[in-house]
Amino acid sequence: MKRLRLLPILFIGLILVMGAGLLVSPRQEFSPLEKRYLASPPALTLEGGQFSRDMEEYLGDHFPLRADWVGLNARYRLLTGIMAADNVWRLPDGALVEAPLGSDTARLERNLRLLSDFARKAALPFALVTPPAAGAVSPRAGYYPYPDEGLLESLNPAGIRVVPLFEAFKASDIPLYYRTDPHWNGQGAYRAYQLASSALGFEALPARDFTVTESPGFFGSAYARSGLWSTPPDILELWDSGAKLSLSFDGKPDVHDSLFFTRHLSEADQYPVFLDGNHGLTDIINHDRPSGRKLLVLKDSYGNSLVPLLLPHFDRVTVIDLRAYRGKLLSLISENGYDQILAVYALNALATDSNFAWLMRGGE
Amino acid sequence: MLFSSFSFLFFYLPAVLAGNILLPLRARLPFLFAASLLFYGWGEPGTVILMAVSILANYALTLAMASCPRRKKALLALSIGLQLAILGYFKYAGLIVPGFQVALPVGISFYTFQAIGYTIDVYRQEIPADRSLLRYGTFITLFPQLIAGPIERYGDIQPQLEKPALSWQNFTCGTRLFVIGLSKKLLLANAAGQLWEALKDSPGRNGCLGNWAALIAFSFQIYFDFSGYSDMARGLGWMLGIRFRENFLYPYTARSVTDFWRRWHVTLSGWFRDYVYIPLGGNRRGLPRQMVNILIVWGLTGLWHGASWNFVVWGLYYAGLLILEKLFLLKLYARLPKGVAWLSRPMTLALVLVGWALFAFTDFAAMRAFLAGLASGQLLSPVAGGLAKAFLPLFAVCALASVPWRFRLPRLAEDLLLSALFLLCVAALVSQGYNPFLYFRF
Repeated sequence: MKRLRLLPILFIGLILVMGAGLLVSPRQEFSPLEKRYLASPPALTLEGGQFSRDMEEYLGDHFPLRADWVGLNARYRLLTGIMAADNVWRLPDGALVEAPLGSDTARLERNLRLLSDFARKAALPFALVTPPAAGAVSPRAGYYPYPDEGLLESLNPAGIRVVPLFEAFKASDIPLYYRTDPHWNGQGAYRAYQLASSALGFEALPARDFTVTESPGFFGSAYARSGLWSTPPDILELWDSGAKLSLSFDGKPDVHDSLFFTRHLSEADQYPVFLDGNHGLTDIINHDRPSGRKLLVLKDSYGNSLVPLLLPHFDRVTVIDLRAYRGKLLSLISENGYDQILAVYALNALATDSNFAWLMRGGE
Repeated sequence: MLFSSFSFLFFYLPAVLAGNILLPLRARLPFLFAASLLFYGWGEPGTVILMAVSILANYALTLAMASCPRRKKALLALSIGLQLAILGYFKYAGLIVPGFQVALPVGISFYTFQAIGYTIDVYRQEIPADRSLLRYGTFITLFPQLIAGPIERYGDIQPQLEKPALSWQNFTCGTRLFVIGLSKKLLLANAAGQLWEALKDSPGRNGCLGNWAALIAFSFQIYFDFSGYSDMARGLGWMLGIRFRENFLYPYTARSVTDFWRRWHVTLSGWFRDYVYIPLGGNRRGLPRQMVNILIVWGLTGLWHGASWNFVVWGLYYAGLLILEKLFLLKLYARLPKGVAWLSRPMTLALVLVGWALFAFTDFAAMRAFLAGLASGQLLSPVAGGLAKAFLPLFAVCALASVPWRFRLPRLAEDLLLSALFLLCVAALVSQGYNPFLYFRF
């Protein structure tokens, strides 16, 4: 008689245990680690394999110990090097960063043209602050180089004052980015604020003029996508100038008196602590009336943590997120009489976002 | 259903294995047939109807052949014509009528070929026409090999359906093959495919070495995807007590292109040899006729792989290479001095790689750009270089997995290794979600 082998016993045992686990494990609606809603049970449909695809997604999302499997896979990809093809990398110092942009710059050029056209139509001073990717300014090398350095400058968009950040960010000896999230941290936003001050026509306040509140235990979106669950959390910093303000969203009557929405600090996604996340139009009135000037900010989420630093220099700051705003921007400008436009977009957003076409709405 | 899916691995497979072991022998065939229909129709029940039409028609026509020998030839033509019409309508109509599009039923290229092979075997009286619709239907729908082969011959499978060789030893061998195949698909093919996807659309920017790295990645992807599927199919076969033929015999170790096609997708080449090449006269009617036959067979082989002209180009490329080898290259290889005889292997490999570039791009402009990129003046871009360097360990594992090993691990070590690989496969599956096989479009 042949000797009994272990493999078939292990194999059958594993598929039975996992199958049973799939059947009995409790359903979770939301994955706090991955910061996303999990698939709901598939609807029965006969259409082109849709049901079986939905079923796979559902079973995968509710697989017993899902996070541990995702973590095992991430470790495996990191150790074998194939993480190089993923969109989040772990640098040798443990920081989780977004992989570089692809080399196709067609969308980037198009978006810059749209911004240039908009600047011309608006006939206002227009400054562009573009944070480089965290990996591009990190002293630790990724799998391959980032294209960020000098890219915007080489495209030289007409009518736009590009605030140069790259050199200063690269030279910084304090960390300017989170290690679990692609965004700049409090220091990074403050550095950008300093560098943008002359373009925006004010003198930057010293850091000690801001009250900095620290909130530990921040796991960012790079963490959620990486699957590397043992990465330690970041500390979120809230920089408050102490300006008296009132804030409203999308013209709604609710008025808030703070730029920080601290209830989000107890949620899985903490970044919306700044300006309550991404609203189409966020209007902020500074009751201290420091300068008589009004600022219009076009931004992606990087702008959310920069706005609190800018507020002490303007009577009014209106923040537009083109991903959600569907109003007529040029009419808004002529109605409210802004003095200055600032665009805050990560290179990544400039190179991929398709919402810049909304800029010209109502402009013809 | 896909082998690399939760529904299959954790529900379907245990249920089918349990049924196959627990049910009495006479209930096994209907059980296997029903299980195979469920496998095929899962999520797309409409495609089962088409398959049922194909099965019923072929069953009736082959029986008619047996009972009416005078009309045998006409019935053969009708049967083959019908199968080819189904294949033509669903797969190739879009190629001839621009803009025409129907969804390609999964596995249709495989099961129609198996049906045609059966009909011809009956016609040649190599096998009797099966009077059992259940048995014939099970032969066509048998779930392990239904969707992507191996393309089996009825004479090999029929006795095994009657008397499957269920044993613990076969079951062990089956799990081993299945886990190896699953690992090839989820751990090697999918990862190699990521490198290919990252680089294939920018041949002008990768540099020449970058493009070669991308092409090597694609070669690994397609080999491990397809041979992984075949391994899984064969493994499942062993678990059910049915032995399927080997489909891949380490093709990347081939000494010539002729040798490559004896090792790559063996059951398809075998099908074309038995049912097209030899009936056309093969090599028995002189060299010029043999060359024409090679052109016909390889043009068709190319076309079988997909309804796009690039596959025909790919097939004819191989026809050209095979003819060159017949004419002089093989003789040249044989005369190489002993010390450099190995040179024919890298030579063959390079030719196969270029072949994959023809295979990979259905768009001719993209194909030309990529081929030009293989000889680009720039050596290696930082992006392609960084990616390729990161993938070197994967490449090394892929290379090791592409050649036969002289030694085998001790049993216990092998079992533990394969179990660990299976856990990694589950981790990859949970992370990656849905990922169909490359060969499903054929």
